Amino acid sequence: MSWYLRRHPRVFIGGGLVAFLILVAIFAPFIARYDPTLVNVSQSLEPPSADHWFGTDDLGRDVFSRTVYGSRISLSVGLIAVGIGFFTGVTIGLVAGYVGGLVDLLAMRAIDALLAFPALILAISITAAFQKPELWHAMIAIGVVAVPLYTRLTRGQVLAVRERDFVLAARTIGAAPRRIVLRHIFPNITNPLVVQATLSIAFAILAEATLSFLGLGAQPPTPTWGADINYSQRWLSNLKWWMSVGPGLGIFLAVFAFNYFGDALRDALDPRLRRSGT
Amino acid sequence: MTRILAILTVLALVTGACAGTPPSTTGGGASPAPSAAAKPTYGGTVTFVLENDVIDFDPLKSRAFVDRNIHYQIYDSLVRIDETGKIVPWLATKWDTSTDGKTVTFTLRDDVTYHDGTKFDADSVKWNIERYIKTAGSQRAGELASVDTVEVVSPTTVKFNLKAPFSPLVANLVDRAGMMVSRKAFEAVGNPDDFTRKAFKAGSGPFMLTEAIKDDHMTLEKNASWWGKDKDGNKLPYLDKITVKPFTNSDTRFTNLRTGDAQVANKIAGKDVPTARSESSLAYQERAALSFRSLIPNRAAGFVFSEKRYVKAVSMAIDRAQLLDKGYFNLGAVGYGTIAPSHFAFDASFKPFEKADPEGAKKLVQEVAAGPLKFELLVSSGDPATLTIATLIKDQLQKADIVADIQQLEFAKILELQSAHTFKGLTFVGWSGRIDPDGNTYDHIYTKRPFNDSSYSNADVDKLLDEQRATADQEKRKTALRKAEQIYVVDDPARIWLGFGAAQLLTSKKVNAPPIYPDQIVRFQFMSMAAR
Amino acid sequence: MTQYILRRLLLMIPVAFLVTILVFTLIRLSPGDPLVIYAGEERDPAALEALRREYGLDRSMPEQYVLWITHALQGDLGRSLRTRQPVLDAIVERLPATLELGITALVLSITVALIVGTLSAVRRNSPLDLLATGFTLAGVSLPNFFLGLLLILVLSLAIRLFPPGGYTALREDVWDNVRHLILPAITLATASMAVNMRQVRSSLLDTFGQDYMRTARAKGLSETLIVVRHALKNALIPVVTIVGLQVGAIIEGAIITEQIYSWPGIGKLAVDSINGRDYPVVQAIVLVSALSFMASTLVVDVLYAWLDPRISYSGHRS
Repeated sequence: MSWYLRRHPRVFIGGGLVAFLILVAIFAPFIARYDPTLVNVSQSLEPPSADHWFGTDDLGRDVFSRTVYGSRISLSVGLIAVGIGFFTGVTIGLVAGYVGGLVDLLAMRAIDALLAFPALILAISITAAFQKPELWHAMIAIGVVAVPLYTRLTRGQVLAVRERDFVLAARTIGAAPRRIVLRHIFPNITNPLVVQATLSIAFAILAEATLSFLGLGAQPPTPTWGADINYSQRWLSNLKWWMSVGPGLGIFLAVFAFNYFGDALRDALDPRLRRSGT
Repeated sequence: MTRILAILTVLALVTGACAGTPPSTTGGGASPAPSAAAKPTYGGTVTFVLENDVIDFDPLKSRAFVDRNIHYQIYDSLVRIDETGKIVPWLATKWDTSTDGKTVTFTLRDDVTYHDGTKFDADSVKWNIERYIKTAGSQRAGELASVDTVEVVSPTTVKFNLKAPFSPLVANLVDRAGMMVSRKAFEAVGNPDDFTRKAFKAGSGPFMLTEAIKDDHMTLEKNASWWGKDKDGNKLPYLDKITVKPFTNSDTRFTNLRTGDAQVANKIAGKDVPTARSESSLAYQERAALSFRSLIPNRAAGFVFSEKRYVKAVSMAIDRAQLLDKGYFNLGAVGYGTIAPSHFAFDASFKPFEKADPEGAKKLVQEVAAGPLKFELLVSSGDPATLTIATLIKDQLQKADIVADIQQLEFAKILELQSAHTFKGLTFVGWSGRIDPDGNTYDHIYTKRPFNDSSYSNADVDKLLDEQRATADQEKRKTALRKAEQIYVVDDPARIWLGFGAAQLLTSKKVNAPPIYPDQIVRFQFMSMAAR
Repeated sequence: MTQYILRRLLLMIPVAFLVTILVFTLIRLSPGDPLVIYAGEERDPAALEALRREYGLDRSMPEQYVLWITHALQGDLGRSLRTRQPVLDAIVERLPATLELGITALVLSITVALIVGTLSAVRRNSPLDLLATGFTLAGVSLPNFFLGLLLILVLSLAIRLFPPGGYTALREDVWDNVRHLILPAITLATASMAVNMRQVRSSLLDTFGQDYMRTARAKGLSETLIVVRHALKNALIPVVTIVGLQVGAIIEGAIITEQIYSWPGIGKLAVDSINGRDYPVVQAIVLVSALSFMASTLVVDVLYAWLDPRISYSGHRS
């Protein structure tokens, strides 16, 4: 393992970035300088200064603190949404790929339907279908959108691996299908899944930002990056840019970190998968 | 020598021409565009950026305030208002109400023709009013509910026979309920659903609707045979064409004016007003409007605000001045009820909650029961401006130990809760305002009326409101309305009013701006291009 | 091959049905009564009831679905609840705007991706390559709404180079139309540009190592000729796949961009209609979008087989 990492320093860098993000999210109360929900109207709309590194918004709240706390929402949504998509998608993919036949046919048509449905509209519709917008709705919506990807990926890999010798050997012995799938097939397909999962987290963070930009998901006064940008975009025309740029920077750094890490993992774990060059 | 003379003559002529044109009026004031001395410039095209696209060009179907911006240009009503809000003759030259209040007789102009050439007369009035009353799904039926029959007495005289005396009738005829549509144009389209999108050249107003492409633009062209004239007898309108472009984003509208892509806007965000005032290429006018801003409590039984002292406490604790300053950016005015500054029944000394009183509010809450007052404050999720105001309110109420829990819901959901009377606390509701105070009050306050989302019911108020409807005597109406307002604002509050909106008019200095009216609608017939 | 195409077309039908059922259910689960919303300020209960009956909104969900699908199959997509305009007309009216934006963005994206991606692969590890790779990673990491806002801030508000939004139809004023098109097109193109650039580069790098490339070099052909004639053609296969999918997803891709720039296309119509619970419009847009996506995946797969002679669909395809 450490031999791998020494040959692929980018995994270290990427991993470091992701770890940094997670630490920021966990230790937000210590990194932020003010309470992100503290209203102080007399200090509203101030540009970045020594007191307020990212300035203040129209209610006098410290933008830097809000950006730091915003990482909590984005990361938790990213991880949980991908978790949902991964778990559901992989399960369906494993079953469909291994069992085949009618089960496969039906499952794949349902997945095709999900895939053909425009992703953003699907996410918006799912969040809108709940009675009151809340954070976990965004997690489910994004998770559902991610399912087809994992299903197809898993199924493709299962189909490729299914006819291999060691699997055939297991079947001739009479091993139970579940054991075959979990013990023999699954471990051989983890690499592309891990890479995809990392990249998906990046996508999920972007998706959460987009959804909260549209007003869905976490509720005020919880600071979330997308909602904060939506909330402050009307001030751009007055050239008060810091309220949008702060959270925007947050999104960019988080997504970049996971993308970078995912790419590095892909290069390190399986050169055959290498599609991106160095 | 002759050459020098020639040049001097030319110079003299040129400077003479320039000096002769009147300076254009700017900012603040309400003076009409061309000065009495010189003839106004005819011709020109302006672009008007509107806050939303117009959905219904048929006054019968129209349910949005924004539609009126266009209706006023293409249709004439029986009566209209002047800048002060007083009702003045328009298609009707005079009107008389019988002593029992049940008959109103209008005398009409005889020189009006519709855009399609047909003549306007009493038969046309009868057809229009009956169409508004009888058509299924008509949005104007409520406003004309008091009308029993319409009688043609002569081509220029028409009688409205009412079921019961109703003094706000004439005020209702100022707006869409009194707008006259050409019967020929309507019947030529056939289907009423299509007419509302294709109402081309169907009115008699100063401009004709010639094109309407959804979410793209609308074109209004000069009606050369309009009957209106300015103070000096010059024919109106001056402009040749108006292109109307809808932009829901107020920043976009404002920027369009700054870049010169548009010349007229009648709604910009409060935060942009200082910039508008200081921009040298623009002229900004503002005045108090008829619209109001309010918080609606759910006063139905079983909900926390069914207790009137709780409503009063919140009303006491809110700092309206701070809301106006930091939430509305000083756009509009602080206010406490439904009767706006331009209404005849307005009383400037009525200031029940002039200063925020969190201590008094705390005591009032304690009177009812021990323990803090807690409720949900609903805000529409697509609306950052209202969210700011809600957060300010939450902060203000905290000083009185009142806990407002902000809930962002989709607009659709909030409306659903409101009309079902099942929301659990307060919601934000505004009203675009009507010329007669009855239009701002009756349907919102009277028991079980359509806009009474707070489930408010007070028998004394109901009685007073009915009283003021039945008499045409303005003094009597004012007394009744004032008594009612004291009850539904202070003693047994129906809502918590935050203040009144503002009418705005932002114009490029390339045009002579018309005066600004309290109903926020631009009077394009008075607008002309500024002489260079 | 024809058999394959036919099979795919047939499979599209049940999938399309599933999509319509899904959108139908989701949007009707959403709280909020569209008629109350559209009543706006002035609500007349009698008028609302009449409208409710006319639209069939008082019937049960399955009934409503059957009604809708039978009409849809005959080409009648109903009327918008908000504007009473026939939905098909509404979509057709706004399609040109979205197509204009989407196609411009796509052309921009492909052109830049091809040029920079090729140069990047040819001059591997040069400053240009590093810059391009950096841009690639940044491009997919920046949310496109944020990019849009930044562009508006800098190029439209701070420096008044472009208008901050809005639209003028092409047939009215070409120059004005283009003026309004530039920023949204750049915003929309950036994310796909990054993806395509990366794909071009990596595919090219892969082909560079292939046997037939060595053969070509051994033959003594010029470097440019090699790159263009041999490498690019083969490298383009996966690129075609991705671009094909992007074409199919034009409507979806434009949603946020149209929202920010007030570009009156189908994407914006979709968001407005979901928020306003304009059921018929949302259902129609999702259906059109899904069909175009499925059609584009089919076209891409066929193209793929045609371009790469090693692929054949006559056997069982996983």
